Amino acid sequence: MNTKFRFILAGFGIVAVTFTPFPFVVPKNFPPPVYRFQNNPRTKQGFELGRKLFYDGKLSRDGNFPCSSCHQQFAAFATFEHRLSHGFNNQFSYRNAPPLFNLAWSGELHWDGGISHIEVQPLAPLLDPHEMAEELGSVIVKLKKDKTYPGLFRQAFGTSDINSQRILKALAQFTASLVSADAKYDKMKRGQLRFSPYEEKGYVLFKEKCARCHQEPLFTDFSYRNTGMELDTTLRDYGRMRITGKKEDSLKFRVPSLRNIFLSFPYGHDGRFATLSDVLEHYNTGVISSPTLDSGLRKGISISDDDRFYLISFLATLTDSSFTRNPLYADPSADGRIFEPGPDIH
Amino acid sequence: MIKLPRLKDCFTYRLWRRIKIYSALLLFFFATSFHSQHPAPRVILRFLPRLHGQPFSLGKNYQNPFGETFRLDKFKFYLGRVSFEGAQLLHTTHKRSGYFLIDFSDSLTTQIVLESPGESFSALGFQIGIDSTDQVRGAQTGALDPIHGMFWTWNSGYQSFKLEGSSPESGEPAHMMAYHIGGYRSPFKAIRQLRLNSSSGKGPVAGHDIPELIEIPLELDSFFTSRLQIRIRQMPAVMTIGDTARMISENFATCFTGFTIRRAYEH
Repeated sequence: MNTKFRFILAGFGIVAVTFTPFPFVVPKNFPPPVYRFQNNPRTKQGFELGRKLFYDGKLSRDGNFPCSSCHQQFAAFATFEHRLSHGFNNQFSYRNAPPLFNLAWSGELHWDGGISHIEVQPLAPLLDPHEMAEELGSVIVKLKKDKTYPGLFRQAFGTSDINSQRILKALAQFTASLVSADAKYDKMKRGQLRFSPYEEKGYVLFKEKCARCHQEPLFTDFSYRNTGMELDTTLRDYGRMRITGKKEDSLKFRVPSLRNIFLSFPYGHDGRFATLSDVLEHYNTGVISSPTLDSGLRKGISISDDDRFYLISFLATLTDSSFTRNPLYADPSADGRIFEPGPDIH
Repeated sequence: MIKLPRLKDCFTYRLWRRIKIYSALLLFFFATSFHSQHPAPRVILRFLPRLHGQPFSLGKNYQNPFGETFRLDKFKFYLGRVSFEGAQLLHTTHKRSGYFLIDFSDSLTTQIVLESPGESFSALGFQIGIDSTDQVRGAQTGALDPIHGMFWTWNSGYQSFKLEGSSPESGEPAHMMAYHIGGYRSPFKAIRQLRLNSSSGKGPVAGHDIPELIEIPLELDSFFTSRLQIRIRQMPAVMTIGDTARMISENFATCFTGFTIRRAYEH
């Protein structure tokens, strides 16, 4: 827009706003995404607003629980080293916080698929009394009172109005942009480098024993399955059944992606498996039979000690450090500093 | 050499140009004012909750048909797909998209203004609840803004209606009673389509100035007794999707039995 035109608009009391297009790039080896920013065109301004909101404690009741308190970049946006996350007033979350990446391909979200659309997902932790414990009206009041937010909303949406739809759309511009597609596995697929013999052997075993559910290239088929984990009697979590109300969905949970799996420990919907080795041992000897058990797991999956070594070597090729260290996804108030797990951050 | 004045500087030319501009402006104002004097004919839908044949209000003690004392503090429902039917209007010609949240704690929302079908009509159709396609559209605004407390956050979806209050019969904490009813997937669909007949004959066609008023009573007696017997002592709270919620949505639909039409300012 030329300056003269802008000046004329300013004379009419209209502040001209320009949006910087920020096209979403689909990695070459990935299928088309489910969320294509339809009705929410991705702009630099919208993305930056979403990023700021993601890292802002104002979205929680006491200011201590931004989205990023349970979704830490160095843990591929899972909660580092925690079975369950901590929320408002010393409370535990109900489930292990999933890592956040490649959400644009996910369709439904959460361990039980209870979330129908990426834009409405933040409402769940935000309003949950165990997590951020906030109310929408209160968040809107806090953001309106803030010095910078009205201007940022104007830059992102054209006017300084702040409402739940704009907050959610901005957050989706950030979370749907979290793409992890540059692990050693991807480089190998693109022919940029080769697997070691151990990794190669692990990859062959993976395709034979795991890929039925953890399908490439996203390493999940997005289905819900009962993997034979015993019901935890304190959590009493029946998974997908809570959403559909159907008993055939009892104890079924979303097949998680295996990308960045080395960073998102502990594992399972309640974080009961501390290490990858424990998960593999579960499939080898720990699968518990029940009416809804996945048909492919009736006899478990036989994984020898050698297999385990090779599989773990392969799984390490799914760690994408360019994703966990990408400054584009980092806390905007940290001036480009990337946090690492350490004695003070966990 | 004599310098001839250029056409642009000629007085009559400038005057003519000015007249053109002013007349265009005048025409514009005339057109807009003409338009505002004659708005499209309107109809007003007004919902009137009743119990035992008497007007019902929030925050007041009542007895349900089982003799159980209760009061409601929240009562809201979603209305959509309004249509009018009449002889001239073959079936449901006049449809209006969009949803309305009828909230009895906010009297501005309990009557809604619609464009008139422009013909007399004897039946009215509408839907209680939100269509499955509109349930999964992502972040929405207006009536569907989640700020209205009608959106389930852990199991994405809009409730169709909500009745909340208390009763000494309820064994829940603080004697709460709550019916949060929704669900858009079969077999637990809690969205109901209704077709009501006029109990006062065909509606007059509204003139430009006087809108028609459609009064729709909501007989709450049926909420407790029509299909599923809702005794507060036995069922003080239903807040999940399922067969019970589906049946309660049928109870709720039977609260609407008909409507009357009159001129809005006649009473």
